[in-house]
Amino acid sequence: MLLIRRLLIPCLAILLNACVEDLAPESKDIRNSDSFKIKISENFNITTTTDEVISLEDELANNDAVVLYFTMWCTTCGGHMDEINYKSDSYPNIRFLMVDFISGSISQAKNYQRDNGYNNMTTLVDNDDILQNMYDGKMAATIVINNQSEIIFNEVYKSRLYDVLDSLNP
Amino acid sequence: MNTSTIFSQKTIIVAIALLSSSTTFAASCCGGGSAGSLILPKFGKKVADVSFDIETYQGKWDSAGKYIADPKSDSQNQYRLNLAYGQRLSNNWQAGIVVPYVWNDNKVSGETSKTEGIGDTSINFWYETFDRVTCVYQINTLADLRPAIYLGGSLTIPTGSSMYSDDVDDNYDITGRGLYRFDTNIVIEKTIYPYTATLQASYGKYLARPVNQEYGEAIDPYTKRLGDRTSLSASLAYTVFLEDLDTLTFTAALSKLSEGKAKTGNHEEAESQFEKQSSALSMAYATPDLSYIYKASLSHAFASDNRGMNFSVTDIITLGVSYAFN
Repeated sequence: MLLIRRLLIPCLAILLNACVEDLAPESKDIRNSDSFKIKISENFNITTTTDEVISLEDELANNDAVVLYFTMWCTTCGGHMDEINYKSDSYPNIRFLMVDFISGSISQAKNYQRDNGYNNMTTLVDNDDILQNMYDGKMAATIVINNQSEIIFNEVYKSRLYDVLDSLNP
Repeated sequence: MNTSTIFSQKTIIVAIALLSSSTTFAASCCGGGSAGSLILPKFGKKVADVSFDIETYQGKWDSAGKYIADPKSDSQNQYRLNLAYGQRLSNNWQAGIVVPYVWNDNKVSGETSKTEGIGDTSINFWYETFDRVTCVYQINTLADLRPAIYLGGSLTIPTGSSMYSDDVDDNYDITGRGLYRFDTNIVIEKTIYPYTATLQASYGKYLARPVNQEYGEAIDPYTKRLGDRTSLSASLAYTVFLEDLDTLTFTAALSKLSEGKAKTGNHEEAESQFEKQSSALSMAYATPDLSYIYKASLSHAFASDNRGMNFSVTDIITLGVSYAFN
């Protein structure tokens, strides 16, 4: 009995500390009124792994929208990038840019990009956390900025991204 | 680059933990099971099991099944302490619970991170289709060929913190997948000393859940359902009887784990499906009365092309001990 108590009591304590939101998830929309306000993106100038400097303003001047995808080159990110790579052909007027926010240097970002087989995808190296701070970027965060500089999507990557892009590219 | 950003790299390893088996391969023990689940011997009433996993990331398979090695400068490890308890409910029914506690220890691009937290808990029920132990020393009658068959159900409870929790600010806080899952399991085992063959299969379905936030940020709510999960494992064990009738059992196993496409709302997430093939070698020492079983195992994912898809390649070393008592 002593052993049972010794095992069960910590187990119960752990369970009581479990995350309630996952145990009893809610569908209620908890966005506040600020969430619905249109946010305007500032311009940025970020160097790519090919030492080219990308300007948001320039990209928006030539495209209907810019999509930023925050990658850690992990397994999950790789799956998303494969899909982006595949689907981007269907959106010729939308610029897809990967954002390496973990490497800390262009050379390291180049290595990750090459080793993971994504040399064909334009990759911004956010080694000063500029994009991460601007968009609260986390792993797999996907941001869509339309040509009015409005941030119209900022969520973890999922297929409804393409609903948003379709609305720009009827 | 801020520290928390680098720390989020450990999500890779967290994902591994959330998808991995959490118990060691036990010794075959006359119906006690050699599968990766906590199963009481036929004559056992209660069992407590403690195991410790050391999982190291070796790379990944991409969505085409190509193996991509991890840069040598990076180090991503996860340690898990699994506390488990099993209880016989009747002659043929037993139940158990496994609670993992997770530590992440990663070094990526020269930055280190250490995080910890409870993982997802699982509750298991097993029905034994046999009334007596089925292991034999030699085959004399047709009945001696009868295997031990266990039919089971497992409920995974999202006690960890997932990306959908409001106490998670960034990836490095994640310790769970955030969805309930129910698995149906079958274990078929036959021991003809000194050999034991085991087949194990499971099929799991996640329950859909509403999502209204990701990493603490409120979003347009949607319904999430992960893809169905299938697991298959086959193993062969050899038992050596020692001087005092204590035993040493060596087990080799092959496993395949796969999960189908997830759904967010009405959208199918094509990139979410994965597959992993791995092998395992384990050794277990059991005392003559089977009250103590000491276990060690090495699980190795095949680090080569077309042995997996969209999944991390890891090696897992597990050390554990179980104590059966009445």
